[in-house]
Amino acid sequence: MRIRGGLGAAGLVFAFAVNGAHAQDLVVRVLEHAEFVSSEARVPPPDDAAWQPLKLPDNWYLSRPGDAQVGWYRLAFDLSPEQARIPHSLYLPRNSARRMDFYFNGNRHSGNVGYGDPGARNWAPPLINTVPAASLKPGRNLLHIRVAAVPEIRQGLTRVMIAQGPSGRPLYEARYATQVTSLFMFGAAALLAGLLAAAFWLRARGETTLLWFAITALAWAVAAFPWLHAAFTPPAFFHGPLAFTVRFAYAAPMLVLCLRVAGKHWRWTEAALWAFTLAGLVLAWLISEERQGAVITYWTVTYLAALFALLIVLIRSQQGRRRWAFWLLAAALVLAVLLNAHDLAWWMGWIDYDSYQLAHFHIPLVLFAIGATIIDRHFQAVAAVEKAKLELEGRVAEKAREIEANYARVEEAKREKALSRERQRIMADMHDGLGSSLVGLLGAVQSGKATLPEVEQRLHDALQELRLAVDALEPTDGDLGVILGNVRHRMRAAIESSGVRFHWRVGDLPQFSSLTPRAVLDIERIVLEALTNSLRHARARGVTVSTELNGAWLQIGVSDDGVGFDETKITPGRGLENLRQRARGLGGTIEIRSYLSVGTNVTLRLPLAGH
Amino acid sequence: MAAASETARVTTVALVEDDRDTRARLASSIRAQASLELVAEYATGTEALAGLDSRAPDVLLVDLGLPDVSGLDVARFVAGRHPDCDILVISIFGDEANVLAALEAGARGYLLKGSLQHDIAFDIQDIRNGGSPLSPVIARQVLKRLQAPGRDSLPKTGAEEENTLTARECEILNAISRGFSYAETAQMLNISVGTVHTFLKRVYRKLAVHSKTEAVFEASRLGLIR
Repeated sequence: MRIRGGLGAAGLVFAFAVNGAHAQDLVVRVLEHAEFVSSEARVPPPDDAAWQPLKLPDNWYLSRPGDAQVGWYRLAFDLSPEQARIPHSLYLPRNSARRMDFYFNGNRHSGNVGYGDPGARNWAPPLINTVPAASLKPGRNLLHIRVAAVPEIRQGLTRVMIAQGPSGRPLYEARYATQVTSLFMFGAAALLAGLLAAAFWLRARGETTLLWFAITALAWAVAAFPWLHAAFTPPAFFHGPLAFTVRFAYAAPMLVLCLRVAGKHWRWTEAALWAFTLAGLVLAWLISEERQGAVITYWTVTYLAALFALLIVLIRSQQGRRRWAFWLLAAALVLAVLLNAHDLAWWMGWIDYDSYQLAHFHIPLVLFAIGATIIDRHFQAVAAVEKAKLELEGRVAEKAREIEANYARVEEAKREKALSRERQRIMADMHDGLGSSLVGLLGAVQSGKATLPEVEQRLHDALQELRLAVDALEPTDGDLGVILGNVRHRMRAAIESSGVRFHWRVGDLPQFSSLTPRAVLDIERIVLEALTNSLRHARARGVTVSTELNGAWLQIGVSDDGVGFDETKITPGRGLENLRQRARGLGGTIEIRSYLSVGTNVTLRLPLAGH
Repeated sequence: MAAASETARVTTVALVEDDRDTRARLASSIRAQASLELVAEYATGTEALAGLDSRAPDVLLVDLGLPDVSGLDVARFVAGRHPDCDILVISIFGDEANVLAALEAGARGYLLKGSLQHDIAFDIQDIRNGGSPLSPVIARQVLKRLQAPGRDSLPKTGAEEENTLTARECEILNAISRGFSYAETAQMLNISVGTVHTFLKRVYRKLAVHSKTEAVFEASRLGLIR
């Protein structure tokens, strides 16, 4: 089942090796052939021990499964005298055992250090040790490596590289950046993104995807950081559980997040995910490191399956309204599946043991895609709200215009109605007044009874009547002073030619702002009528027009010192009745007092409050 | 003829009226007055503009409803040419809109069509004295127009000073708007009737100036004048 090659660094290393035409020129030697003996000895076993040749890398999960074991490797390499004079380095693509001790030519040289770091164990950082020239010799050199490893968690020995001078460094650094530095970067980015998302969520509690995003990112960042931090070295007992936690704690929130982003809110699925994660965590804390392999396998397979299912769910969702963010997330999930499949293949021993560990790259990819989706949706929502707002504003404005137009129409109609009512009244008035006097005059002229001066007088009166009607339509704003003044103005010629002493006692009057043209005309007519009577029939020497404010009433008086008449003897004519009717129409009263030889007093009383 | 000898000088009158009957009636009314002398009659505005270009009578009667040129234009033309000529427009109703427009065009008053014959003599005498009596309605409109609210609170420019009313002018217009005659107004304000006439002449002038500045203001508002 073992697949050679894979995505490991082996290819790169082979290239180095193949490039050298002669062994002496080799800068990096890749040692693939080794011998092994199972022994817990503290020093390299003697040559006569049961050394078995084998080919590196040696994955103990495949080659010697079972409990934790200790064994020795023996490797040989040749150095020219020149090469033996320069320091070399020992480079392992993965620090792949619980403990390793390196012996050059029989002397212990160094071991693997810093392996108490579970995060490092999971993402397998490389290892490099400097080999001083003193430890080397020209010709054949022997390297013994004591390895204490747990097969269950895929420990063993990778290919061993002996690099001349500093030439092993770039290999180490490239691998270190991919396996370790990237974790720091992703962890920092996830922390930042998680905090930002949390801050945004605090402002918008309804956005649960933001909350899940924050939880996922922070879970990953928080879980990854302590194990990467050199200063944090937990007791060995915690290594296994913590490593498990680091590896899988983010899984449930991330899967839930992806489901939510895909628009699925499946309670039972989410509950199962949580239960599964919790169960894995509990198991990881209960089961010793040696027995964790099965749990991890189980978990990795499940996670991969979940990712794959998620991808299917996502692809089946959002049909018809897919945007770029959808394809980004889909691509991220495809990559996540591939990366996790790669690591699972390594875990299962299907690909080269020296391969890189790549699964951790899927987290920033997926988080990035989800972040992009959330942002895209946010802006979509903002745009939708904006559009809705504009639409609403438009509709409100339209409604406002409609209401305004309606109001204007109603007002216009009201005005029209009032106007037409006024017009009708004035027309009716003219019909009764001007019309009948013209008809009467016509009759008189036709019958030949009327004298010319009489005709002239009556025509003049008719014209006067017409002018008053026109005046009544002028804007007086209910200024009664102006209205009375206008009567005097219109009668100026008559007053002056009559030769009476005319007294005008019109004081300052309140404005009757609601006076209609018709009311103005009525007031003018009453005063005109009274004045005309005094001028024409009373044979008066003096005529007085006066105004007086009397409580709630305004009194307009027209009095003369003429011949007067006996009220009891005069049958109330049409003229007087007309005056009364007009006064009633104004909400007022009219009082006519006349005494023979003393004079006549006409008083019009108008209610102040009524106007 | 006795009346003519009493006045220092006969008042010359010209008449612009398109309706032949009205023109004839007005002409005969004028001729009936010894103090008046009808010197010219025009049936159209064009004739009037030509005839009144170089010289003008003491009093010009202009009908507002001429067929060719507006009576207001004739009034404006003559008022511009001959400031001493008193212009009376002929109106059927003497209604506010027409009379105000005529006053703004430089007329001094109006004559009602269909006035009794002796009224014409009154009107012409009035105009010689300083303008025909302002009707209360029109006096009130003049007050409103030359005393526009809001204008008072602003610092007045020279031009505005020239065409807004003084306190005394307001008092006079206020009295007239309440129907008081010039004599009564003069008595109430302790001034002579002549002074009232003088004030009113000034008011007429302001009204004409006001209408012009109003036009300028309107034009500049519309961007016609920069």
